[in-house]
Formats: sequence, structure tokens, C-alpha cells
Amino acid sequence: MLTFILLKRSGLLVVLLALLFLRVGPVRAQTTPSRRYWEANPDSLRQVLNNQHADTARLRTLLHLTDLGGIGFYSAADQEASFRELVQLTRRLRRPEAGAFRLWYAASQLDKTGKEPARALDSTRAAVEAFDRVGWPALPLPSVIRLLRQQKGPAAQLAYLRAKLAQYQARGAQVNIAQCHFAMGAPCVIQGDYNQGISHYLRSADLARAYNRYSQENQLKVVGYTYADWGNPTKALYYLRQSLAVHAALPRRNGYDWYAYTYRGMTLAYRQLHNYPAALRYATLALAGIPTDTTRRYAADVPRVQAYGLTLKSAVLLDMGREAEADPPLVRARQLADSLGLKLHNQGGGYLDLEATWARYYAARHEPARAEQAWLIALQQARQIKSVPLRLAYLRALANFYAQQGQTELAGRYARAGLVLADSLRAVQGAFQVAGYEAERAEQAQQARIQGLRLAQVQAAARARRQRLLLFSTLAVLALLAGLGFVLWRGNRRQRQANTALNRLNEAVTQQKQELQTQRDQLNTSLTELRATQAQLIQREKMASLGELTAGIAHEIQNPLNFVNNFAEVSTELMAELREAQAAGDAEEVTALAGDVTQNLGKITEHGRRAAAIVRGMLEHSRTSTGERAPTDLNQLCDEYLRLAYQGLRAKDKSFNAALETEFAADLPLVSAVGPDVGRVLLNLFSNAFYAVHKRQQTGEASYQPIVGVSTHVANNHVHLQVRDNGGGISPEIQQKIFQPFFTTKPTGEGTGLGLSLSHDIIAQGHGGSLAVESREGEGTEFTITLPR
Amino acid sequence: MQILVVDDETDVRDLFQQRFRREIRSGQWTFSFAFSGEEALEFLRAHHSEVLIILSDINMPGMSGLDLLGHVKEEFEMPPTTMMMITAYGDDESHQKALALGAHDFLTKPVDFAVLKDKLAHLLPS
Repeated sequence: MLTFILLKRSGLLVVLLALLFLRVGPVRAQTTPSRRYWEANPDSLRQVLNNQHADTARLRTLLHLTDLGGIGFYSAADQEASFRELVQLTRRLRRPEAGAFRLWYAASQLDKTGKEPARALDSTRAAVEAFDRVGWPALPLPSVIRLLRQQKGPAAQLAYLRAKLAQYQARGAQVNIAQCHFAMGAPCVIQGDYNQGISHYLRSADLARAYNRYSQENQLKVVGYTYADWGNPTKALYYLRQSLAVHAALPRRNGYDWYAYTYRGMTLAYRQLHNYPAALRYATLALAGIPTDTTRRYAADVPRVQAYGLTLKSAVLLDMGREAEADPPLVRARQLADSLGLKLHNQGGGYLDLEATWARYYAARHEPARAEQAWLIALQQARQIKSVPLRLAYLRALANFYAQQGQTELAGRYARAGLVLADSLRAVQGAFQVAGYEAERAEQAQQARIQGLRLAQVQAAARARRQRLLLFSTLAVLALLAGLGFVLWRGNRRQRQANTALNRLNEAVTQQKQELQTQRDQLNTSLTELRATQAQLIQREKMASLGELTAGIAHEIQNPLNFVNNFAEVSTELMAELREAQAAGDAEEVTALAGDVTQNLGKITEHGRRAAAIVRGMLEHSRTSTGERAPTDLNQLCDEYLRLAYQGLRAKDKSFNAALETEFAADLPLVSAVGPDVGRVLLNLFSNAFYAVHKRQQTGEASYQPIVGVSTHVANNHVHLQVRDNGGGISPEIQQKIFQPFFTTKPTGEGTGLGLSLSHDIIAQGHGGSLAVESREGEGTEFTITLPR
Repeated sequence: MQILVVDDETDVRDLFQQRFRREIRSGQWTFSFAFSGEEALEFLRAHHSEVLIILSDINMPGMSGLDLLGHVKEEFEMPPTTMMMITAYGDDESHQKALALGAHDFLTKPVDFAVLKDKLAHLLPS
């Protein structure tokens, strides 16, 4: 916070002082003023006011002084008088913002009494709204923020500021946006959310760069100080030095260019870097830079800044083990703090770590009882201001203190409390990330609403146009009708004819209506029929794939059946021979023949099982899927259906031949899948592959070798099945359509166009997997099924 | 006399060995087996002059029986005297194709071994 803010609780002074990081632009709202406007010397400006008499000139200067944060005024009384004059001048000159100023003044008077803080807050808020309404920078906003801080928790402050921010963002009011961001920093930080807090400060600094370099300098030093507070000394020093550099490039303002706050931030940073000599140097500088002129308005701020500086210097001396030297500054700091009623946290200047420093002093002086008491007071204060980071720091300090005193039980209790708080801090930070996001959303919603309003406006205009058009057309029609009536009246004889014509027209209309009704009924019927046809087609696709399968199965089954028959026959012969050998007493031959027969019986069983397995597979395929998943060996499934599809095509074209390449991952796990469904997909893919290579082969391409391959592998917790062919490939345009129902490239009657569509559904919806295609024309096609393990 | 049987079903070997056990035992006929067209070609390259008859299935993955027929015709100046094709599909098209490629005979599965035996006996002097 700015060093000058809130030295006394006298309301108006605070209100006007708060303007330091506020106002832009002269009387015109939200314009980007020239650099010069901000560089005006406050003292000279105040001098100018003394010699001005014209109302408009005085108003301009008063606003200018207000824009400069009120630092040019001689005293609080001078400032209050100026405020009153501002209200009078705006009213007398009939300025549109006169009402807003009047409301603001009334609110500040209420605020000053301090008796009804809740009403003061409401009034000041109303004043902000009044400034918003006339499109002015919201001058009373800092007062609202201060009152909120005094009366409500950080969450309520942030809620208010977020709403305002969204509003100003929608309006593009850069100064107010910067103001909101700056004000949002403190409640974030006090909740321990340094990340968001610093982000807000930085945004505000970036915005201020465009309109007020003094403001930018101020906000940069707050960024630096907060970084030091957070425990990032490198960043802290970076921003504090940047702040000093910005300030060095600006014109001097006698009496206002002191760096106590900046130097205190640097002291904090160097303490964290354990560079105590540097820390002590800056602590001393922070005290040395304080102006001694007690006649100026800022003089009121001096004791507070001194209390901060002295406390910090003592802390550094304690760091260095020079507790004897820490005694005098600490005593002085306490006197100042008591007389000013300073608390642990005061607006502007950061934390006044007085009690904790005393505690460390007493501990160093081996006065544990007083040290304990000081630590407990510090903790109590931190709790009062709801500062999470300070509570955490003091809880830890107390835990350490008790541990050193050998009071392990108490040490443990405070350590545990610290842990709980640290956890909640993390939770709070999580909540704030969400909150930040919500602010963005609020803005988006606002934008959308504006868009909606614009649209409504355009629509309203269009409607008005249409209505006008309608009015004119109606008038024209009325005129026509009048003419027509006249003609009708004149041509009375033609009345009957007209009547007949009208009747005819009526009939025609009735007939047309009936026709329309019939057509609609027909369409409805067609739609019903179409739905039925669709269902039939899906069934037909199943049957078509079954047909393909049947041809393959017939062949696949023939081989094992041949073996069964042959081995059975040959075994009968062998048995006859065996009996002969037995009769001849050829024991050796008997044993050999018996062995052969046994072997044959084994073969019969084996081929019988093979045939049975194929039949079972076919039954499974044709049966309506139960949809039940079972652990499935996809390698086996691929192999089975590859052969079936191959034989299926060969059943149609005997001369067809293709190389089958299989590459099965040995470590493929069983996958929970509906076997028949996946089988149907595989069959479809294989059939398509064979169809593709077959078609390419038929083009008579020299040295073309049809290849259809299937491979399986596991990757990323998924099982991948790849079916590839070196057929003609699929063009990109067709690739986009192949998963659409009823899309087929096959001649009419050959394909239902549902194969890939159903396959896609089975894999994607039935198994939560994916079916993808990759193809190049003239090279081939690869389908990849991906299934979760 | 050497007969080379080509089929992708390995049990064909056991079947032939039992079906022709008397002829094999008497040393009348000798059977060799190959389980793919490629394997058959390799065997022929090594034992070219010994093989008199090739009995090949048509439907095999990779090199089919008809492909084998073509390769044999191309590669060997003195191909085996007889090449018989066996197929599960008794269609005319394959039959014509086989004959056009120079096959001498064409059998349909399931193979009637009595007929086969007769044909072999007829083809080969005992």
C-alpha cells in the first residue's frame, strides 16, 4: 500500500489521500492524459490555485490536485475545504458529475463521524455507482475498499472488486481496471494467496505505465515488497530496484520523494538472503530518508513510517546478534505505535512486526516468560486481522520457542496447528485459482450480454423496418382493394361471374388442401417405411456378413471333416490288418498297427474338435449379441476371422490368392470384449481388405502381389489391432464418409454400406474404443482398432 | 519312384503314409512332403531328378498350387512327368486354369484314395 495512506482515521483526509492511485485524466473521463499532466508539481499547482478566481479555472486545478492524490494540499483542513469547493463548483457550473460529487461528499461526512460504518459503506458505494453512471473514474472506490476492509473479510472485498472489475472491463475503463486490480492484491495476500495477489499488483502496474508513471512506480514497489513478504528475495529486489529506476526518471517532487517503503522491502529481502550488513544498511536508509519538515501535510505520516523503520532495524540487529543495540529503537517504536494506535497491519506500509520483534528480543535476552507473552500477543493480533501467513509464521515461532524451552507438548501442539493452517492455505490458494477463473468468466458473460444487446438492437431495427414495409404494403393493398371494389361496384353484371370464379377458386383451394393433407400422410407413411427399411438394412448387413462367413466356414470345415473321414477309414483298414497279424502271431506288427490306430484316433478327435470350433464360431457370429463382455484372446480372434474372410472371398473367386501376414504380440493381454461383436468388426475389415486387393489385382497391374496383414500390439494401456492391405487405397474425400451409414463404394447390391458404420458403433459405443483409418491412394489402407485394456 | 505331396495341412503326411503303407513298405513308391509352394520348390531344386510326380493342393496361403505349377514349368527344363492338382473347390475355372498351366490331372477333395491309387499305378510302372 502506499506509504502516505491512512495516517489518521479522519475520514475525508483518508478519502482524498486515497486518490493517489486513482484518478486519471482531467475533467474528461477515462482519456489517457499526456505525461505532463501527471508530472505537474503538486506544490506549484497548489500555488496556482491561490491566484485563480474564475470558477472553471479553479475547478480544473482542484481536479488536477485530486488527480495527483491530493498531495499538494497544505493540510487535512485545506484538503477538506477543497473537497467542499469541488462539490460547489461542479453544481454551479452544472457539470453532469455534480450529483456524483455531492453524494461522495455526503458519504465522506458520514464516514468521518465513524458512528455508522455500515451506512457509510452503503453511501460510499452509491457514490461509486454515481460516478460510474456518468462515465467518470470511480473516485470514491478506495474509500469503499477501506470501509470494506474495516467491516468485512477478504472474501467479501474480493467479491465486490471482482464484480466491479468485470463491469469496468466491459466498459474498457483502464484506470478503474487498474484500480480494482491494485485493491484486489491486499485481500489476496492477507489470505496467503501471494500468487494471485502479486499478479493483481503487477497487472495494475502494467496498466498504470500507460497513464501515470508515479502510480506505476508505487505499484512496482508494492510488488517487490510483497515478493519479499512471500519469501522470494531475488524477485523482490528486482521489482524494488525497477521501482527506484522508474522514479529516478520522473521529475522530483519536493517532500514526496522518499523511499522508506522501498528500502524496507529491500531490508526484508536482504534478511532473507542472510546478507545482514546490506539489510542493516537499507534499514538505516529507510529511516534516514524520512523528511523532517513538520509543516507539510505529509508530516503526519512521519511517525508511522518511523515506527515501521525502527522495528525493522531492531529486527535486523537481532538477526546479527546485536540485541543490546536493538533495545533503543525498539523502545522508541513501541512509544510511536502506542501513541498512533498502530496495529499489526495498517493501511499502507505492510505489517508492523513489533510484538514478534519484541519476542525475539526477549528470547535473546533470556527472558522466556516475557518472550512467550509477546509471541502470544503477536499471534492474537495476527488472528484478529485474519492474516494467514503471519499466523503461520507465529505458530511456527511459538513451536520453536517451546521446543527450545523443552516444553515438547506445547511445541507439538503449536506445530500441529501450523500444519493444519498450512493445509488450509493450500486449499485457499486452490479456491482462488478458481476465483480468478470466475472473474474471467464474468467478463466473458458481460461481453456476451453486450453482444446479445447489440443483436437485439439490430433485430429491433430490422423489425421496425419490416413493420414499416408491412404498413406500406397494407396501405397499397387497401388502395388496390378500394379500386377493385369500385370496379366491382361498377361492373355489377359481372358479379355473378365473379361469384362463380370465387366458388371455383374455393373449390380449388379445398382440393389443394386435401392434396396437401394426402401428401403429408404419404410422407408420414414414407418416413415410417424408411425407418423400417433402415432396421431391415441393418439386419441385412448382419446377414450379408454371415453369408460371407458361411462360404469361408464351408471350406474351413471341409478340411477337418476330410481328415476325420480319411483317418477313420484308414483305421478300419488297419484294424483288419491287425486282426490278420494277430492270427499270424506277428506280435511286433500287432503292436505297430495298434500304435497307428491309436494315433489316428487322436487325429480324428483333433480334427473333429477343429470342425466343432468353427461351427461354434459361426453360431456365435449369427446369434444376436448378448452384449456380455468376456476376457477375449484378440490374437486368436484375428487369426480365426482372417482365415474366414479369406476363404469367404475365395469361395466367390477360386483363383484369388493373397499373402496373409500376421504379426501377433505374444504378450497381448486378454481384453474384456464382446467376442462375436469384435469378430464381426474384424470380419468386416478383413473382407474389405480382401475386396480391395482383389480389385487391384483385377486391374492386371504387373508384378502386383496382394497382401493382407493383421498385427496386434499393446501401448499406453490400450490394445491396438491393425488390419492393412496393399489395395487401391481410399481417397481423402471418401475417407471422410466411410463411417457414415449406407455409404458404400461397392456396386449396387454388393454392399449394404452399413459395415463400417456398425463396426464403428461396436468399437466406439460398445467398447469405448476407437476405429481409425489411414490410407493412401495406390498404396493401401490401414484400419486401427484401439481398445482399452 | 518319388512322389512329392504339397499341402499346407501337415496331417496329410500321416494320412498318405498310412493310406499307402503297403506300397511304401514294399519300396514300390516313395513319398516326400512339402507344406507350402515355396518349400516344394526348394525340395525340387535339391532333388530335381528324383521326383516324378507332384501332387499339389491348390489353395495354400502364399504361393498357391497354380503358382507352383507355373514356377516349376519355368524353372525346370525337365519337369516331373506328372503334375496333379487337388482342390477343395471342384469348379471348372480352376480346372481349366490348371490344365492350361500344364497340369496332367485334377482331383477334388475329399480325395478318393482308391481312385488316386489307381491313377498312380496307371501312371507309374511298378
